[in-house]
Amino acid sequence: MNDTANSGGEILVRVNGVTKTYRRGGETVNVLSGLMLEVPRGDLLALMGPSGSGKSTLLNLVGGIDRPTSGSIEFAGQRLEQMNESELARWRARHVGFIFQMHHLLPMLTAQDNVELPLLLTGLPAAERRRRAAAALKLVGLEDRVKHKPAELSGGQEQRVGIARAIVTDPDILLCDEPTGDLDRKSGDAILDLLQALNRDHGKTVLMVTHAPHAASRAKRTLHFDQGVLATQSKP
Amino acid sequence: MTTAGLMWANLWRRKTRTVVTVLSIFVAFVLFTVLAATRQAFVGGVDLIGNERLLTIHKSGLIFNLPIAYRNRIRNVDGVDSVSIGVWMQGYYQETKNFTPLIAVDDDAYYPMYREIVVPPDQLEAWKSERTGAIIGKTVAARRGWKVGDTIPMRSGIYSKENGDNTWDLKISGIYDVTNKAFDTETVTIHYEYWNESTNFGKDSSGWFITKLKDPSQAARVAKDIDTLFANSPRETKTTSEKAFAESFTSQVGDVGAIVTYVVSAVLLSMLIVTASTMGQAVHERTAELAVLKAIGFNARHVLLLVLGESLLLTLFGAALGLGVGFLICRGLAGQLAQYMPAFWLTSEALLIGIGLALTLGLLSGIWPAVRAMRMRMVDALREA
Repeated sequence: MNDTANSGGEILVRVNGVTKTYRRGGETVNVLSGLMLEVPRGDLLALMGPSGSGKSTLLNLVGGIDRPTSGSIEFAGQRLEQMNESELARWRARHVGFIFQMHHLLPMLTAQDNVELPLLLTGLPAAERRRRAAAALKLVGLEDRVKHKPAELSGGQEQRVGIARAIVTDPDILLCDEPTGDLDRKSGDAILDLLQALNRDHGKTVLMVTHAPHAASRAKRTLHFDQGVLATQSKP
Repeated sequence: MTTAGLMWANLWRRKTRTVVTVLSIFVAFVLFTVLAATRQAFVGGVDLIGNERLLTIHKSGLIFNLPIAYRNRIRNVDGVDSVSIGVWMQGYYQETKNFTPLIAVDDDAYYPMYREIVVPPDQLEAWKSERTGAIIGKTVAARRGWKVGDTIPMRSGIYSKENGDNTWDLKISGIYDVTNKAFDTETVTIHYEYWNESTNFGKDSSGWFITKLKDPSQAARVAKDIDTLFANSPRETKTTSEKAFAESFTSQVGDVGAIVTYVVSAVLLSMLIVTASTMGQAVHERTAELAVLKAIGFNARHVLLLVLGESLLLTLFGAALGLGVGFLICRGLAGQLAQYMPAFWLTSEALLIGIGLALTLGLLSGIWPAVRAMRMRMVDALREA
């Protein structure tokens, strides 16, 4: 089964016949097989499926941190496979915000400094970097935690800092890999509220890998993966 | 947050490990400065001695004196400007442990010959007219609290007066300074005539002759002519440039330069292993974080420079501390060692070499972890995390 856009809006991500294979212990593993997918700008898409079904691999491919074995991925008309590593890095800095399950914040930096990290690449003056990082932290409700280090924050707060880091460059798309996977239900719901708000109020396109049905229920669409292909598509 | 701030913060995430590594580098560079100053004391001072003077000694060695009459014969050699004499008296003050170089020199030629030694003209004139007068170095004067006009009892470890007393009472006429660090400021010089009149042996002899050349390029020819003058005599001579003499003297205590170089190399190699190990561990522990940096837009070059920068910061921080403290230690030691090693000091060249070594150490210890971080595949690193 393949998914094509049917909302009539601008297609931000177009996945054309993407196949991804890995070599594992002398064996070739097919993770994605000829996947076709269109993601309109402003979508909030949940990717579900069992472990190894290819959903995280798709996220990595769309984010340009991995390359397809065959097929192509277009992002706002740009073909990612035609970019070299430096161009991809620049493209990621400008267009993509990553949110990881384990946050991956730098432990020796404050929340403010962690959020400023992606801005180091922009050439913005230090004062402007600080202003933008503060604004991003305010948006995720952590304006009173800017000087705290990750060890001084709760899991939910750490994930909020991770989200602030992802949105500080004002990217087009947020790629979330199990964003609530390491949180209790209450903190997880708060993160999902935040992602929904970013999608609804700020127009961010969100692709979210999740195992949790309650998280997927917040999405506009849910795609179910099984053995490297799209099994079903559902809407709330 | 700046890139340098990020490097600095990364260094201090494991404080104990960083402190231990910085301390190791610090100690290595303190050692480097002291060894570099020691090398300078033995080897570097020689480089500062010019070739414009020749030194003539007994062919069998410094312990044998030569007849004073040789002076006039050397003066007549073609190319000779002036000739001075000197007698080594093995001086000490009160006790033998208070060693102080004591030499008897002629008052008309010795000081004019050495433009590196500066004596105030009025003091030089006063010395010439004072039979028991002495000109002393400013360091020994400062250490002993001696001043012009004082009378000091200097004793000789070699010569005695005719009454058997080995003490020469000397009146300080002047205090000299030097313009060249290869020269000491510890020596006490007295009139050759005073020594010659009083000594109970060795009269009318000189331990060495110093010949000032009209043209330094003629040094080899003049040296040969001087030695030829006294060939086949009971007291043959050996004439070399002062520089060659100093080199030969230095070589008698071993190739200090090479020894110091070997020790410094061994220490720095150890530091390379320590620092590379620290950086390797630091990068290994941060695999996921580095992958995240790449994911948010840092490219391979950024990551390479980030890790190399950390390595350089680590080594330069430790080295700067070590060179700074080492400089102060050398300055302190220079005063204490002045009478034995007048050329003991840390040259600006050695400091530059130290900075160069720190940069090399930082680059070499960081390059492999940096390349590993640069080549790391984000997907694999994030999956493992």
